[in-house]
Amino acid sequence: MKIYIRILIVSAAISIFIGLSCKKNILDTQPFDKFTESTVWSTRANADAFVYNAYNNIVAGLYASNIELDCYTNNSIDNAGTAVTREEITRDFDIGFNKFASIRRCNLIIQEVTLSKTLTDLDKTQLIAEAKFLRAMTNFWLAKRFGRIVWVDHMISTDTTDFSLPLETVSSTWAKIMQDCDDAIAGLPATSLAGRANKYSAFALKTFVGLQAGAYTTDPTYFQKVVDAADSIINKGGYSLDANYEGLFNEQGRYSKELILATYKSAVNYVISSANDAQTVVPNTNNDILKSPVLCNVPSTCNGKRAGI
Amino acid sequence: MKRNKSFKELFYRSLKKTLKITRNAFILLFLGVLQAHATDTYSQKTRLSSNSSDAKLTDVMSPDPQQKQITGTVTGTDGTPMPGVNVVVTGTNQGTITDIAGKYSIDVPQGSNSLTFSFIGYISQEIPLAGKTIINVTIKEQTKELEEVVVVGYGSTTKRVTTSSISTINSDQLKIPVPTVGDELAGKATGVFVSSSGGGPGKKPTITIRGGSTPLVVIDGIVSTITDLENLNPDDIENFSVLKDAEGAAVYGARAGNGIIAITTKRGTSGTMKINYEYSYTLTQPTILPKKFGSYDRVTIANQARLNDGQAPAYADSIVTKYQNQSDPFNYPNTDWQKACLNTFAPVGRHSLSINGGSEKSKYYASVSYLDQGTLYKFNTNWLKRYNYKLSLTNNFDKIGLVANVNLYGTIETVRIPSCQYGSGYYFTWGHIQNSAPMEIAYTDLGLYSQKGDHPLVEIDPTSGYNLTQARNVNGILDLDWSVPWVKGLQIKAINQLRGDNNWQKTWNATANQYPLHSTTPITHTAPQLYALSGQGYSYTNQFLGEYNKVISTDHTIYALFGYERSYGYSESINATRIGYILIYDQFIAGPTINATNGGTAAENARAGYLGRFRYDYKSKYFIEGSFRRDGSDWFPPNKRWGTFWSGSAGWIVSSETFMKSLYDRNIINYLKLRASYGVVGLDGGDAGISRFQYLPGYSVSQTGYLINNSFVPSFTEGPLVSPDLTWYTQKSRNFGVDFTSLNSRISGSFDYFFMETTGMLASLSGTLYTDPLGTSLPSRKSDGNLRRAGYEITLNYKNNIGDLQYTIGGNFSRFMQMWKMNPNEDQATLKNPYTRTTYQTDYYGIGYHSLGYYTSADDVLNSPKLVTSTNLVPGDIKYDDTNGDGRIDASDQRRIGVDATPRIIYGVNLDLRYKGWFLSTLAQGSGNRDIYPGDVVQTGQTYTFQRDYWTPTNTNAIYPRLMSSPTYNGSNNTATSDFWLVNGRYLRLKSLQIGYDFKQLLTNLPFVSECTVILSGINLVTVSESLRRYRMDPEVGSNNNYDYPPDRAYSFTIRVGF
Repeated sequence: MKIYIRILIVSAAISIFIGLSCKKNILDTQPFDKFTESTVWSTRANADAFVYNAYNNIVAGLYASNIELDCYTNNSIDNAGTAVTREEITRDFDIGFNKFASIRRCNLIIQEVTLSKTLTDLDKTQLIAEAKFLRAMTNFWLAKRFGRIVWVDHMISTDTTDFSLPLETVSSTWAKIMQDCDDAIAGLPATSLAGRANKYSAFALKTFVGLQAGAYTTDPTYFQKVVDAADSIINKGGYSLDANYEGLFNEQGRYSKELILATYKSAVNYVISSANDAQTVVPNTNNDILKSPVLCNVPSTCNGKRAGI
Repeated sequence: MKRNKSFKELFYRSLKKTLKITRNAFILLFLGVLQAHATDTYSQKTRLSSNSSDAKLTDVMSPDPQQKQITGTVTGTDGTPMPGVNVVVTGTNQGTITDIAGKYSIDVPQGSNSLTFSFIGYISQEIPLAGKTIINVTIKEQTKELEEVVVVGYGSTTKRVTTSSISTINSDQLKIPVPTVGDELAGKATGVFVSSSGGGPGKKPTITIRGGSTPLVVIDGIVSTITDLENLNPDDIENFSVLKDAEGAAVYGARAGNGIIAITTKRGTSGTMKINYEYSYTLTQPTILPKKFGSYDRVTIANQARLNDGQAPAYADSIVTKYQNQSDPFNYPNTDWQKACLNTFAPVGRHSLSINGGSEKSKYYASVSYLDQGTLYKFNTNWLKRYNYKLSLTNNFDKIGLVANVNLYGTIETVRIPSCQYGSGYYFTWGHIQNSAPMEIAYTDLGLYSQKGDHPLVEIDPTSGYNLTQARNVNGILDLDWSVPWVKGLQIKAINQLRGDNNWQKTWNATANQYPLHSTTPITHTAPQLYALSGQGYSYTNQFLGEYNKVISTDHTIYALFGYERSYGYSESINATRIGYILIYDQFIAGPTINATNGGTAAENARAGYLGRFRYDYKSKYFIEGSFRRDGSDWFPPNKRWGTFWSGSAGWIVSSETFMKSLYDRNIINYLKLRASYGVVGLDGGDAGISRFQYLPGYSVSQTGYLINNSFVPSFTEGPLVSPDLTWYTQKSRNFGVDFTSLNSRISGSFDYFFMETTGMLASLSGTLYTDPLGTSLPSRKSDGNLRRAGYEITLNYKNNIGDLQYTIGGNFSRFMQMWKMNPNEDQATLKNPYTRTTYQTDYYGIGYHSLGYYTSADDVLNSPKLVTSTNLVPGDIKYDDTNGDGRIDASDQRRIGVDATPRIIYGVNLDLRYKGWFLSTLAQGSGNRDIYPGDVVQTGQTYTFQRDYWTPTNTNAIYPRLMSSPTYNGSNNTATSDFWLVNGRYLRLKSLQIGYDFKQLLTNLPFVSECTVILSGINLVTVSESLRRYRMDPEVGSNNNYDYPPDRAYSFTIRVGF
């Protein structure tokens, strides 16, 4: 009997022990897979990590993921361009108007860096300049395709009732992109690590933008700006042409003096199946029977050629 | 410092205490087992007074001249001896139990009048002594359906008392030799929708209740996962309840919306030790394996196809001849890939052993089972092995009213799936067997694997790689159940569970050597990589319950339950990868360190809740019941974690009324009960469309974010915007039911109607409005979304016997329909299109064209509206309906087509016969309309012989359109989404057929054998379905392209012995 009472007391004690000791509030669980906003914008290294995401999204994502607009010309026959070569482009065709997520990344950098209490003024200047450089890259990509852009230079409030914004005119489109280039030139450092933009990357972008701007706005002053920007690169940038042109695109010319801004790939995140460009420029991948494809009738000897069926 | 010291002291003290408790618990367990054994032996050898104290025991043992000895045998209705039957001198607590042969011997004091024979589940009998010294008794089983214990949330009830809609499955109905408990359930109970998709090791069917999402699974009172249920040893299941309405589910609050499956597992029963062993060996084969074309057929059809399109033949006549006469079998082969890769049958073996026994004070149940499942593949490289173990010890400290149960159980499941550079898993290997053309060789002239890509034999070869996953878990439950001695009817329960989980995965994708013709030099394969993942976790649940039962002046019965529950889980994992192996050895030590990567995760989750239930009945005729849960869920921000869910219900046993007496007496209605319930329950977590910690704004990180200066730098990504409205969905659920028995309780049945309405859905306006310039999606807000689901269920059972032949015929039918009253994710344009919107529409397959069969003539082609993208149309192509009559067929002609892919109706019919030692048990199971849309291989391939039925001018009723060189030749006219291809996958299966005989009848000279049954079973023996007829596709196929391992037909031999 005594032992039973003891057991009872012990088990009651266990229950109370478990009931009271473990956690103050069991529901106060924490995520172990994300970072808070304040952590991200507290140090330069952390803020850089957000900027790198924007690079991946804009520099690599927009400019290095396809053979660019070439697939919409007769220069190459590409899956992505079959709609053009077959004249199947309709009014519903969208070549990629919605790049607001890229622009949001740039505006978020500007907003959060400005608000940060722990970043130094130099860090702030450089990060905001870099954000504007990336925003110019995005808007330039859009302007080349659509001629006019929707200008978003701040974080839009979620309380907004109407999110529709007007298209800029042609002249203000190019003026705004040029302004971002100039702001980037002013704030970016003269040198940077390979893969990241510096002052001269922004000058180089300005030459691209200026040429297009001059052509579409017919404002000749843009051309002088292009010449000045190019001169700055030539005279002060320390870049020079590389005799090994092929090397620019492989490991030989990885850090060539000709490269003003490059995006790099590593064996870890780049496998042969990622090389879409190489695949998509192959003609006749669809039903464009320019010439009846040579079929391989003996599959055991096809070695990668298309089998008969 | 001081604080630290006292904390340390406290820690050591509590640690010491915990160790002491653990030690005591172990001693307790050990003593329990010993005691159980001791009393066993004792009760067999001598006599035992039930509920005895030690003093009384000695009293009985000492010979008393005043007493008279009575002996006899107790048998069941079928004449078999009944061991373990209580034999008590009526009015005393002096008694004994029968031995293994059903024999007993008892000393009866002078003046005693009768003996009472009782056994759980049997009708007690009082036999007058009348001077006899030998009393043989036959005891009868109770007709007990209404008094059957039904497990519900945090307790149990009976069918008679409950006012909730509950389906139960008897544990003896879970005896089909199939790999998982889920496979057992199809067609067994109303409201339980079980659908398989394909077969093979590791496949688990989808189970829903009344068409919801994954139901909440409660095993022995502890919320578990559906996988725990599927992996359970079916022999361990004692009670199986499906709580379908709000009354049953409301005590689970925010997680109750998908219904509850509540299970209790076996505990020890008092009596002599019983050992049960079962072995079954099963051979499985696909329910259907569509026959493929040979190479001669393939090349002639290919030539014909090109001829039809005015193109030169792909194969010259000389080559066609070579395929036909097989004169050059290595260059122009005819490979039967199915034959090359597959055996006729796949083996499945299962062992199950359990031991059960003990005394009233201390009982034990222990079981182990082992399942070994293989595949049809030629090599034994794809298998599943599962071990289940369980130990339950119950100690009854009747002096203080405490029942302590310790329950340890767990599973170890290992699955091996072949893996190589061509892929891993059924979709690859099985798909490649089907896709490989007969014109490709499997082996070279030297008998080596050919260099064909996606070579299925290479994939399953033992020298290729593997994906090995192992999941281990161990659960311990300590269940203390204290009937407070000084308050009659009050029970206090503490149930504490601790679970440990271990997962291990290793993936090695080496590829077996392949060779060109005439060569012994293998071709180069992609260098393999090795990936391993190790995960571990633990979780615990604590429940503290108070239960009160009181009968007031025999008419009023009150039951009340109040409890607190909380649970917590933590898990973490680490993984590593090495790529580009040069040394082909599946260990990390052999892998290059360059480009090696690793990663890891951690997560925690918690819940808490207060719950209660109240029941009152008057004269066992009128019942009211209500339950609630104040539920706390960590899916939501701190100020929104707690919500209240509740239900109320009422029941009326009409048959107990005096005005029904004449119907009762004439056995027209023996029992009739009306039930109604209403409740408000919740759906949270994934069921409410939210992700973990969605309430916290946060950035996710990638360690390979960007390459700067040739090294990876991490990158942050902004997370989704936080919704201020994050909360559970609310489900209002109504249920009306009738239960009845008739014809002297031979026929029984019930009918239920339910209607539920889910509201409070979160939806982002970005789904329906133009918000692009924001650059991300607007946070989801509470919407006016409203999803309705309604349906009904019918069960009927008829039980009778003709002489010694006992038979049961049963049937169940469940139906539901659902509809968006308001779909919050539907944009205005779709909403305003009455032809394609989802709002206010019940089950349909999707959006597509209506087909009008084939174009019959050139005139027909010229004069009919055509799909705008179609070209080169000729007779035999599919003709579509210009639904809106505008002369052209485009997206605006699309309409809702077909019926939903998941069945809205399921039914089962079972017939059980028993004759002496023989039994026959069958279950036919089926589903209502459900559409299947075949994949491209089935639509346009020329792979299977049934695909030869294509349109020709002389075969205009073909199942396939005309033969074409390429499906895109006519602008993909024939593959536009339309009801042409839809095939109704409703089916009727002979799900199981079992014939068995218990050889115990013939083994009377071996009295220790209590059962020796041999059973032959067939599973999915016959299937009738339109999909089977038209596309040779099992209705529960896993891939509409036949890429998935097919559903099984199985033949099984089972032997079950008991001692």
